[in-house]
Amino acid sequence: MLKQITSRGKALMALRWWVTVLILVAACERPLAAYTDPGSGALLWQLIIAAFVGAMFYVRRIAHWIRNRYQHRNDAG
Amino acid sequence: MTGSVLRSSFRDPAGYVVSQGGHLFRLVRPEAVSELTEFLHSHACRKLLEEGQLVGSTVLDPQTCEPDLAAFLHDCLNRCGAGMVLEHERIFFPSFPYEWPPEMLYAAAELTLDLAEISLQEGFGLKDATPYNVLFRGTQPVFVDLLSLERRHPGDPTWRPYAQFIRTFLLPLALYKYYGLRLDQMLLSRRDGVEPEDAYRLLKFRHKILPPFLTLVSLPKWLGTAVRADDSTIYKQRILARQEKAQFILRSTFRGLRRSLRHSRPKPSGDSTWSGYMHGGNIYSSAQFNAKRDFVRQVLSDHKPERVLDVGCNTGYFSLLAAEMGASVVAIDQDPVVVGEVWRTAKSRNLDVLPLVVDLNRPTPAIGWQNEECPSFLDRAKERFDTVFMLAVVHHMIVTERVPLARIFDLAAKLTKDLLVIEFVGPGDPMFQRLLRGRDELHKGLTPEVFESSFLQHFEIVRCQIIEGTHRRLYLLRKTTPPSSG
Repeated sequence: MLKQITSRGKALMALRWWVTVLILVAACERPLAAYTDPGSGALLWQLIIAAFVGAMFYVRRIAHWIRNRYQHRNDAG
Repeated sequence: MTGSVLRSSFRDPAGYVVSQGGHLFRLVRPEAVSELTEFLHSHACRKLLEEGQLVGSTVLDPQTCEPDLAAFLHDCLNRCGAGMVLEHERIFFPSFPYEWPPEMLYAAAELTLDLAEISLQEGFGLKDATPYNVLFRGTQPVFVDLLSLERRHPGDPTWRPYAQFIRTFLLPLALYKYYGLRLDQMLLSRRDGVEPEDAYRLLKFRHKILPPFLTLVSLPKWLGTAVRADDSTIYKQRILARQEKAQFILRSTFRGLRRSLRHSRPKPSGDSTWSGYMHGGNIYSSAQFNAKRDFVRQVLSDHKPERVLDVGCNTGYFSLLAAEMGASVVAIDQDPVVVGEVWRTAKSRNLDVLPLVVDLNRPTPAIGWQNEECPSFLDRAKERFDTVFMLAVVHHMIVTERVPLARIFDLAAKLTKDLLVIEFVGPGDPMFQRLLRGRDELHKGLTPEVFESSFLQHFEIVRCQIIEGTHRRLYLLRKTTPPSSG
């Protein structure tokens, strides 16, 4: 029960943090000073996600490598 | 060359489509031939063709084709400078995204993503991601723009049509679902969909910061302000040294788009003014409804029409009946909720029905460059149908739209090649009364005799049946005026 409450509390805290960040971003948004390419924002967002997913690619590979190594040791043992 | 270039076929420099003698041909420019040939030989292409998801396509060879066709082909290859000519399957009734219920736009979006992912396995990708690349064969979406497929650089992690997919598929679907904006309101006036900046202005604050609008609208909008208009660096192609990593990123992009698509999926049981019309139970008793059904069934069984247009189809009872009896049906109604229901039912029963959101009182206009890219509904529908149904619809046109009866029959005679099944609803009918709203004087002279005299210019009566206990009559009419030469 206590564990459940703790994890729910953590999730709420994380949600609160995200909402605060998003409100700040929205509040700091600048008006369009000049002509903006309509597709540029979506492309930039895709590039940001690509950078994040690209990092995940290495994290996964390392995790995979560790798992394989651990499994290999266990099999040998 | 004797064929005519399709008015919508001019944006892609890789080729264009020509209509000739009822056939459709795609002329491919020499520089695009090798890529297209590679794709046509890929497993992905064969699988998509087998499943009917890609438009039927045959490469024509002047050595082996019929003499008439050989002369045309020779003309295409020599005088028009084509490097290759394909013949395409002709989809019976072309329709456009602003005529689809959201369910059909959703199906077209799924097909576009499927195609992008399946072709990626063999190194191909889509140049563009727009619903104009998709037509419907009955309820099935079919990808028709073969030249949209191109060879991708294996190290490229970005999907160029990402923003276009959001503008033309995801945002219209999400705005329909969350704000009730109809697809025609968004897509008729915009060729390339809804810009995130335009959508942002409509959103409630909580929608701005939550999926699906957070990633589809707010973040692109906020990030867009950070890009200088004269800065072209973000548009440069980025090639990663590790191809495996590029593919990993790309698949993640597709997963994200599918997630957003699921968030924007139209709800299966929406309510609208007309969604409960057929189930209301206050229009006909079951015996009266059975009499109407038997009349229509008899027409279908006696005349076996191949092509039927059902005007004001509502939940599609008679469209589905006609399709069950072997007809290809185009079912139109102004209400996207009921049209979506027809699509779902016809799809689940595997029936050949193309349901479209079209109001015959204000039919879809011709739009696009010089008003020629997408022909109007009437241009596409004119004399394309053996039989037209106008069941329980004429009183709406007379009372609500104030269209004179003679004009309604003028239009019906343009749509049908042969038969018209029409229901007369007299002013004493409760539904007629509900529409009148105090305008009784205008329609008190509407009798069956007046109704019959209005169609004699174009039609003769084959059969007439009074629905007992109602103010309604069913007519089967045959067109007497010759088909127009145009």
